[in-house]
Amino acid sequence: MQIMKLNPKVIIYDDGYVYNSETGESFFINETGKIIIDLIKQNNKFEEIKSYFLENYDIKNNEFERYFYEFIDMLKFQNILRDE
Amino acid sequence: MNKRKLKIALSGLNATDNPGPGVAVARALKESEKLDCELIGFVYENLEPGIYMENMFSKCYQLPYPSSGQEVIFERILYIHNKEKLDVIIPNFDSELNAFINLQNELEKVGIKTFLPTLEQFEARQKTNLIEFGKKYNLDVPKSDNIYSIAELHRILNNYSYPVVVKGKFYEAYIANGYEQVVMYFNKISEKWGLPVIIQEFIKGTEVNVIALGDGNGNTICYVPMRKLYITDKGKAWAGVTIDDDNLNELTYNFFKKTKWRSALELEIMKTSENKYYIMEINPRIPAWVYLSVGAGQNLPESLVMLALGENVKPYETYKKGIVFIRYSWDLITDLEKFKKLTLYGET
Repeated sequence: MQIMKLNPKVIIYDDGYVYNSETGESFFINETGKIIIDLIKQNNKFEEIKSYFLENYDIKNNEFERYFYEFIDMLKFQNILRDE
Repeated sequence: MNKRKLKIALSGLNATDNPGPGVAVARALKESEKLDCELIGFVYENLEPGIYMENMFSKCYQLPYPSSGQEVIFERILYIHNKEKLDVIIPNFDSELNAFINLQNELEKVGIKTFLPTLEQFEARQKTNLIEFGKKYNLDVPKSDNIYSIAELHRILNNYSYPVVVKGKFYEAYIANGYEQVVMYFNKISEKWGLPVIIQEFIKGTEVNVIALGDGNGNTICYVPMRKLYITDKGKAWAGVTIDDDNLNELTYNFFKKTKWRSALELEIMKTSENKYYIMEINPRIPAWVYLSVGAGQNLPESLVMLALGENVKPYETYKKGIVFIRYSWDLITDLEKFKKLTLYGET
């Protein structure tokens, strides 16, 4: 998987409120989504993010991957995340 | 800092559900850090809400409608100027601009400054001339044709796919999904606004708006882009948020560089999913949502007045992103005094 970077025009607030200043659109992400975004912000790669969740949450490998990619696709569709 | 004392007259006090920009311009000038403004209202109707707002306009005068002719308007302004000693006039209606552009030298001679687009610029950006404007300055604008009779419709519509937009030369636009609808809107619009009626390609996308001010030498003095968050049934912004789109920034700065636009304007732009930016309309005056520019850190009316006075105005370099405006309605309570004066004497 390519390195993922957050769109610098996107502001993510601590409470999960996301404002895309490029489009004027805004929405909320839940606590888990916020953790994933924070890990991406810290330049963690997919394997590192996966390890974090498998260690800290009661979730199976394939289950995590399905939800993770679904979430990432949504972030890319909303132009919050870009492949480097 | 000593503020410069000025007396400024402005129009567009109709802060209704289809608002003129006057009250927002007045509010911006009242909050100026450089200018100490006493404001005079130019009004057309007795019930324009700005007339009745406390601490906004020290006096209001009725102006003759633009259709009365510029001599009549000038005569009225001279009467007002004799009493008020105006420094600057800011006309805020499209329909007034032609007369004020033609009168600007006469106004200057009696000591009243304005800062308006040139007549060529004003004409070139008319809806009926937008295609030529786009070609001249290499800007994307939607395909359009000016129609003078229903007989032309069949031939012209062969070059379009539905839906198409049917527009009046001054105001109003409808989306038509078939020939019968186009004919219906053609008749409706031509009856109200005259000919030509404009047939325009329908561009699907997200509407974004820009408020900006050019110094006439190709420099962008103020620039704030906004996305509408809530619109009224007339398509007017009731809420909006400042955005930060690099392509839009570049488009606007290039626009001023190429056109050397003088004065304020509003660009109505449609951004498509292919990331193309079409200029849908160029409104040659300050838009009603101008107070958002103040909220975002750029006092555009203040800069416009400084340019009118011949000052060297430094361009703003930044604005706050994610700043929201929400319009609201508010019932003013007043007695009949001002209404009576305006009705009887044409001034408050």
